[in-house]
Amino acid sequence: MRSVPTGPAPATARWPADLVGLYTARYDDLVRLAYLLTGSAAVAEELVQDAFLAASGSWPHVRDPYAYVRAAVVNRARSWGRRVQLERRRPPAPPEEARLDADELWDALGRLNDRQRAAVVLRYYGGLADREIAAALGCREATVRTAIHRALAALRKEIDR
Amino acid sequence: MTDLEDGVRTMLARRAGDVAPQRPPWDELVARGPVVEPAPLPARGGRRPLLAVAAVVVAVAGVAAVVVADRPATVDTAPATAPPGHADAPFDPATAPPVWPTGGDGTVATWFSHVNRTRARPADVSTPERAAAAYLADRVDVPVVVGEGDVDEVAGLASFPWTFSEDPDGPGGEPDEPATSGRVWLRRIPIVTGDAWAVVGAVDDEVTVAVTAEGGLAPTLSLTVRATETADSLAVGVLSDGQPIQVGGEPLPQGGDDEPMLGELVEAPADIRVRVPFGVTVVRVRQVGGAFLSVTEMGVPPTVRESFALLPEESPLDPTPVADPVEAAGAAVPGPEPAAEPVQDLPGSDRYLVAVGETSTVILRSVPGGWVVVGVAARGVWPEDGRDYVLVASTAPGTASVRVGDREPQTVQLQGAAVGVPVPAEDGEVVEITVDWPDGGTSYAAFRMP
Repeated sequence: MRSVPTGPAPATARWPADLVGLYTARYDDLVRLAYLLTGSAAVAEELVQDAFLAASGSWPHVRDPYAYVRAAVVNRARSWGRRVQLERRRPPAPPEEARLDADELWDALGRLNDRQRAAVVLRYYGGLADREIAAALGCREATVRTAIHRALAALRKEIDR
Repeated sequence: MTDLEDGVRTMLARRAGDVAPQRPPWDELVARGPVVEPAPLPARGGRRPLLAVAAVVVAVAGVAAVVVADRPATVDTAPATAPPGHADAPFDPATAPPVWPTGGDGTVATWFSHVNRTRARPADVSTPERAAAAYLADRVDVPVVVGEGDVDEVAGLASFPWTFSEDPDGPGGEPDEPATSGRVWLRRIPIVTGDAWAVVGAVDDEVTVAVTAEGGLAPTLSLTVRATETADSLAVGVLSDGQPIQVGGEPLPQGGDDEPMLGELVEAPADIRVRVPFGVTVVRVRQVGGAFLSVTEMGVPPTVRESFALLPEESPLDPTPVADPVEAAGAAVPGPEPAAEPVQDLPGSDRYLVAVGETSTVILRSVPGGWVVVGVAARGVWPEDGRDYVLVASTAPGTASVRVGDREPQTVQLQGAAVGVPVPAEDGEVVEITVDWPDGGTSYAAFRMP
């Protein structure tokens, strides 16, 4: 179902004010988060925009709007990563510009599995607690702790090479 | 805090700072779509002509459940009650409603209707092996391995075991995903382009879902969800006609546009009771640990024995008013005499019901001078109008005879899914559908093309 505004009234009038407000206030933050998850600024913008559009359908039932959209962005980023992986039949490409400045840590982040990468980004960039990360990823807190532990071990192993 | 953690935090902040987001105005964003309308869930209607009258039909069905029958239906994924010949199926694969493949709006009937009309096959369902693999790829995010199956070509039934275990040599080192396993059941469905294999159910070995459906004025589903201690979080979805029904859990945000809802996070053990519209309800439970790791899915058939024609419009079958509504109902249905019960008023509408026999109900409307029959409803049959076909959907196998106008009737086999009968129907023609059920009953449905 598509919704294309008609008539002179602005489209924003048809949407919840808090949804549009959240979009205005947190769009940049979420794009940066998506960029850290995908390694592509263009993909990040697309994912965040799609997440907001899709979230509008569930809006009346959302309890924590920002957490909901953030989780949607994380899920979409992970779905995108899995799709790329399946299409290419090989691990995801390292993040953009990786070769330009030889950022070992950034490269190593791109080689983590998608859940570990998401957990690391949400913990160390988003500053989220385990409980919030678990909610965003749809898993248990213990799983989050395990993922981060293994991610750090993998990162250390990579940069020690 | 270790040096590594500090380094990761610094690197992420620096990388994020390199990005300069270009936020388009909201108006421009929603104009480009795709957009889901901000409507309460479950939203129905407005998606295709057939559903335009669905709300009325739901109301009709609710009353009929009291008038005619109120038979609970139970589906349970716990093994050990398997009918002979179907291995360890927790339900009867020969009659269970298909749950996949689905169309864009998530309804099995729509998908088969689409296939019948366009001869397109969105997924390869030509063999049970391919259909099982395609289904699991659609429902589960992780790469599962489909094992050697049990295929009965004569009966048109198949089942396959599946397993998932993360590659320990993959990125990230040791696996942190639990191993999952289960089984998927399929049934061969005849369609215009040949045979297709539809999934009629799936189970996860770690999850048990028992469903009891009750009819009546307010049809309800009671779900009992149990999981082993090693199972991950559970995402529960209850869908009616592809639309989600809230079960009280935390909504799982969408991961893509191809699924109307990913489910709601529910902690097992859980006992859930929800009201549902009339029709087949799909229950889908998946382990979710950052990705969908498994699937348990089943279709729950309607609980009432009667279902009702989705009338394209209320064109009377015979526009001549009859003074007595019971007499009018008797004249509309061949065979059995109309029931002696009083005419049932449908609250909120100008429609009335009269039961005829055990398998049909006549829908009437009061008009000046008496009553006119605007449709006949029958057990398990949904006739849908079309300019070049008539779609007959059924929740159980049977033999249907479809007659349009004065032309020769066509016989079609119902397999628990929609079957399109390529018969052009002209404006004003009466479509009659008679279904002979395996248990010996006969249903009759009719409506007039608008």
